[in-house]
Amino acid sequence: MEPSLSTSHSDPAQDAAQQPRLTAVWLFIIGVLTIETALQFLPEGFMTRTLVHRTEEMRYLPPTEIQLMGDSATSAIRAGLLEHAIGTGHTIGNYSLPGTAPMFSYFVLRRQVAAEKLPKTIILAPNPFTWGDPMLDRFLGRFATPAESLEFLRDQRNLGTWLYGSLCKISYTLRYREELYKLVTDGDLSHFATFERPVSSVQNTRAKITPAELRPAEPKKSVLDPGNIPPLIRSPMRIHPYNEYYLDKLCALAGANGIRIVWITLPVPESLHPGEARTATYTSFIERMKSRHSNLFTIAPGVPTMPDAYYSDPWHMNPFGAWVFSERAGSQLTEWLRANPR
Amino acid sequence: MRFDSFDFIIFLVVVLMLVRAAGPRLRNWILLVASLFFYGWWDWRYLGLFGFNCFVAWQSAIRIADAPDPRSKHRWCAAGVIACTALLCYFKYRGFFFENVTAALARMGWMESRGTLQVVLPVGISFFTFQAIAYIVDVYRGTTQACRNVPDFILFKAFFPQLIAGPIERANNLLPQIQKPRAVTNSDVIEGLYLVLWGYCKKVVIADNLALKINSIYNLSEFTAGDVFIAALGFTFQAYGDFSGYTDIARGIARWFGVNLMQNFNFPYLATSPQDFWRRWHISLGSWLREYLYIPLGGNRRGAFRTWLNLIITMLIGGIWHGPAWNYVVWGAYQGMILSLHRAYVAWRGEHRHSHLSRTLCIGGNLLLTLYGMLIFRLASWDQICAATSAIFACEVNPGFAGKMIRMLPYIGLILLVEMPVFLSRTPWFWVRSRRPIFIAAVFLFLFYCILILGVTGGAQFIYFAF
Repeated sequence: MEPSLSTSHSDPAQDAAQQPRLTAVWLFIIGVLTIETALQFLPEGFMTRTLVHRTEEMRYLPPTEIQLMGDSATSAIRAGLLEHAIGTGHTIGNYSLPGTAPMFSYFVLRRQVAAEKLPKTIILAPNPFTWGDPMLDRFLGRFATPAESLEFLRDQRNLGTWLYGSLCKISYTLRYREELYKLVTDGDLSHFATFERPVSSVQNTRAKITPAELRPAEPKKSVLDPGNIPPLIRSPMRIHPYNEYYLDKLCALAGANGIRIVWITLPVPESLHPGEARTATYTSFIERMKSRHSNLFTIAPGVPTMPDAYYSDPWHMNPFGAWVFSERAGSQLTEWLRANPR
Repeated sequence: MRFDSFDFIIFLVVVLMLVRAAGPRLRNWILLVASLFFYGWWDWRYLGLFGFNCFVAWQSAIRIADAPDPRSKHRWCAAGVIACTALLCYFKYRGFFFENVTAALARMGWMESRGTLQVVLPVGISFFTFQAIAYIVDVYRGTTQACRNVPDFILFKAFFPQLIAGPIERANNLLPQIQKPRAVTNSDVIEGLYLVLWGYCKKVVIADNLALKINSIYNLSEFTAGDVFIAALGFTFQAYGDFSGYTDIARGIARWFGVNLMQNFNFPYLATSPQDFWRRWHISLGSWLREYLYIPLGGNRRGAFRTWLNLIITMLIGGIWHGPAWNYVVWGAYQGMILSLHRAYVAWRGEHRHSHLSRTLCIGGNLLLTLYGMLIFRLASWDQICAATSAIFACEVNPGFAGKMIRMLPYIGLILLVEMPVFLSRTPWFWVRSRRPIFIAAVFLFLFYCILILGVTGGAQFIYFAF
């Protein structure tokens, strides 16, 4: 006879006498609080420190004329190389933040407006595959100030997400669950290895590029593993409403401050091209945004590609890919700047 | 509002606080409003459909109870069952019927194919329809009293932990608990917390992680035997983690309101035969099919052939209950067939006591049948079913097989780690009853941090929400 998992209150009087105390529940709550308090003594992860450091820098560094914005894929673009491709006379800064979405770019520009450190042109160079995820837990847990967090709640009225994001801010485990997941499932210790790693600065044209960076060696073979492609790349193209909402706000804020936004879609590996239907969804999204904002321009519509060998993983270009892209984007940008003088 | 969403957690905390603060009279009202709010969260228009289903069941039961003669009782019972079934068929199977009839007519050249008919499926409709039918039939049979109190009856139908994906609660278990004042004991709190934590662990840690590992295989059109084994094993445990996880969360939450929902899973993969499996897997559906379909069809009282036929009909309907798709029909036929074959085997060899060895062999053999059944259940088309079946006999294993197996094993191991001691000790509350508080707290902490760290956020919908 197997045990039954169902319970019944056969004898209330006996049950009452045998009732356990709630000590276990209180111990559990105390245990969670103790663990989370102890974890607060660990250093913050590399990404969080990078976000904090760079957004602080943006407030006191002198503004550049042209400012790149986007995510980690965008940060592969060397501001110096772009300047080299465009030609002198333009100051360029790469203000992209790793692991972020348009919401971050909007609030960065807000902070810049408050600090009066504004560019004249923003080059928005997002990865076309990341529009389905607004990275809310990262935004609320690692980036937003309390006032920005409350503003998000007011604008989106999404109490569940806001509360979860706020808990990410309080709880180390929630804030770093991506890193801890990799640690437990793959034995990946890189989160702890980056505790001592100094964060990199916002790149700009004051940082001189080396001759090796000007012409990196061309890789011969692709390192992409076809069996290990992130689901986001294979899934249908989706524009998350929050990403559209905050891109709208970014364009509006830029427009109100006389800033032009030039949208350059980052190329994707040839083998991962999204196909016609997904590209059409993406292109129609860009067209929709352009119809709403007169200060938004595009260079090279569609989703461009580059050989797989130019990538270090499905998202990120390797130094050679970044160089090729910078050269390509530089000449496109030069033409655009010539055709659209202020 | 999904159980694994943060919105639901906020909702639950608010309802628990309100129920705790309210007096006994108000509690049911709060639970009723909360349950309707919970259901309306998906789409408030479904509330009308749900209300109509409640009205049909309530009115039929009252009419049956008040009917002066058995014939009238019979008529009202039939009317109620037909109305509930018609509603289910209209919303769930209309598109399927239209699609297949037009495809068949197009194949015969009688009309052009007109594509598909998009019909929105109201969430939980299969569950609350079966619950309504069971209630009407129980009142007709006299095994339960017709409930004349409308709020109590709606709460019996709408009680939110069981509303969307069961268990398919019977009136004689749930209604008395709703009608009487309830007290929440410390055991309810502790055991409820264990069920909730383990339920979430099974869903977001085990089921959702296994889904990430196997979903790509189910998109293939050609398989190797290795692929098929990984896909079948992964989905077998994913389905268990997903559905039994949901049930455990539902039962745990219900305990916090002082309500005991019925047990829905009882170590199904340790069943020794297909018949035993259906006593352990989705018990509320298995028993529903037996009591309200198999037995009225004649059960095993009309000879061997009729018994097999009844089994196949019952399981075909059980299969299509899961959804309007041919793979569910094939799965139902497969279940009916193996139940019939087992029945024939028992009739031939007779029932016998299992030795440890024969019991182990039976468990292993039945698990293989279950793996193949789960494969059919999950595959999307007849072509895929054929391709996967022929791949099994080709016995080809691809090079990444061992690596993929190793990546799945920790999740399957977690189920064994938590559930095997319960099974072996024959102590249902092995982890939380008669234990030191520090031990129980350590179990809770382990499960809680498994959920926090290993849980997949934004993972797949609960599989049974689609049924």
